[in-house]
Amino acid sequence: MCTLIAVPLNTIFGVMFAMLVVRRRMRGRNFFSLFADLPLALSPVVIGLSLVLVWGIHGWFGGWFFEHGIRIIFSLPGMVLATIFVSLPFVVREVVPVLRAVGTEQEEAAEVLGASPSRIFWRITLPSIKWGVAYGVILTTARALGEYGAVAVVSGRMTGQTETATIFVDSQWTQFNEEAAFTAALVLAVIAVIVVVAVNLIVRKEDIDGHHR
Amino acid sequence: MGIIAENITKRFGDFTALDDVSLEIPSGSLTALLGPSGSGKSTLLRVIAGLEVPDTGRVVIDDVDRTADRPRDRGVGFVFQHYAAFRHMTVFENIAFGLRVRKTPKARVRERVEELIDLVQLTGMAKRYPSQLSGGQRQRMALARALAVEPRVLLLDEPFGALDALVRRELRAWLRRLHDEVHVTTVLVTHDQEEAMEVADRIAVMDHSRIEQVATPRNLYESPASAFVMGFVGPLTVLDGQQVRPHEIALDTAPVDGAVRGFVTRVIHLGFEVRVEIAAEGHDDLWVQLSRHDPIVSALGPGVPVWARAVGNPVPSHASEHDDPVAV
Repeated sequence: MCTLIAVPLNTIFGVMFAMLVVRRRMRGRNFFSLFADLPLALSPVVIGLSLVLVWGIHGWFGGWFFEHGIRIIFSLPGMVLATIFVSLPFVVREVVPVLRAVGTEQEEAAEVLGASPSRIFWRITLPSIKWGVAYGVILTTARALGEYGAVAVVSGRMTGQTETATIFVDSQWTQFNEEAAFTAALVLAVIAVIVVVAVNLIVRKEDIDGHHR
Repeated sequence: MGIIAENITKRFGDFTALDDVSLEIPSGSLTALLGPSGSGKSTLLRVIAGLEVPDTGRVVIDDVDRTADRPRDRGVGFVFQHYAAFRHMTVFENIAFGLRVRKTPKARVRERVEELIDLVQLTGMAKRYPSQLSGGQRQRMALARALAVEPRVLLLDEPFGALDALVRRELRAWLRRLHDEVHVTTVLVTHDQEEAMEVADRIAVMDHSRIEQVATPRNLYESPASAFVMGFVGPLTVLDGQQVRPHEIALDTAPVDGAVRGFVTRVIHLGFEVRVEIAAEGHDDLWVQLSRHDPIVSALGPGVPVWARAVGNPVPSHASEHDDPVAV
């Protein structure tokens, strides 16, 4: 569930972020690109705790939401936030180098031919970076499914309510429910294998495309 | 009419790419911007297209001030050095792109694209992808794509720069014929003086972010405005402290009054042209261009004493005021 919400959002954020970093000549874009890497360097548990700090009932924003009847920490929004934050770098990391490699000539050519910015993005930019995006989406999915630390902190681990697959594996295991733990773990492992195979297929496809350049 | 660029200055950080440049390009002409890399010629072309915004100055195309217009509103066609082909589209779709953006009716798009495919000699290749074309074919496709929307001006940025020598020569001649058919005002950026001389009616020579001279190819060669232009549009050598064209030197194997004495160090046969390198006594080394039919050629070989004197027009006196010429 978290993954279903987080992956599409991260795809959009990631592509926007990458466009911003690569295509705009703006101040502080190096700082922005560092920011995108931050979740890779931070321990997920730390990320979870910082989210609690900001969005918890006594946090900076959490209090306001709580007064309006929206719970963020210990419920789905918090878990989605945690998943988004942890898996944010993957689309950005994949798309940035592809955008750089593709260059601006095709976009400029389209612009001179009269295309609007949105048309240029949908008809020119996106088709040329689509494999980078796909690769990033797959990695994001893998990371989002496998995330444990940050989500465990913000979810409150309420069985059957705020439980992700990894949290389920862990709690079943600690309750000596080995059968359930192993079954869930196997499902996750199979998904992981599928993801790795998919990534490989894409990399190969990119190689073939590359030869025609 | 045509293109007027007025007092254009463009800086990138500390680097001044264009320093108060003004240029007029007559309607229907084919003008080359010629200069070494980093001279500002590509930047000037991109300013005309609107792909770069100048810090000062204005751009007028067909009597309309376009300085503030976006590239897509300027009615220009642009061809890039590396083709900028839309890789995921077929030749047909590439050429049709500009027409579809303008919401041209389908039947008209088909008609126009087919017409252009014939014009650029890609008949039968409409369904191919750019990856299935050679470099020369890709560039012709890019040219058709730029011409499809009937631009007021056609801007070509080193269009043959990425092609091999033979294809280059072919495409140059083809571009000249195309221009004679289509008559669209064309600006060609190149660093190759032979290309500029062969294709263009007028050449603007650029160096160090400024325009050095604008002239016809012939005038440029015969009366260069500066030592830089002289060195850039043809070979130069030094005889008796003076810069001369190497084919405007006469050689003798017997003493001649007022000639510089030296010894042949090397004779290079380049087909029709024969190049003779000479170590001059008390002067800089020089080289001389002869034709293979010149009777003296058979008498020349390493170590042969020769007397060299200038026979061409003297170098314009104002030419020596400038920096050292670039050897070609």
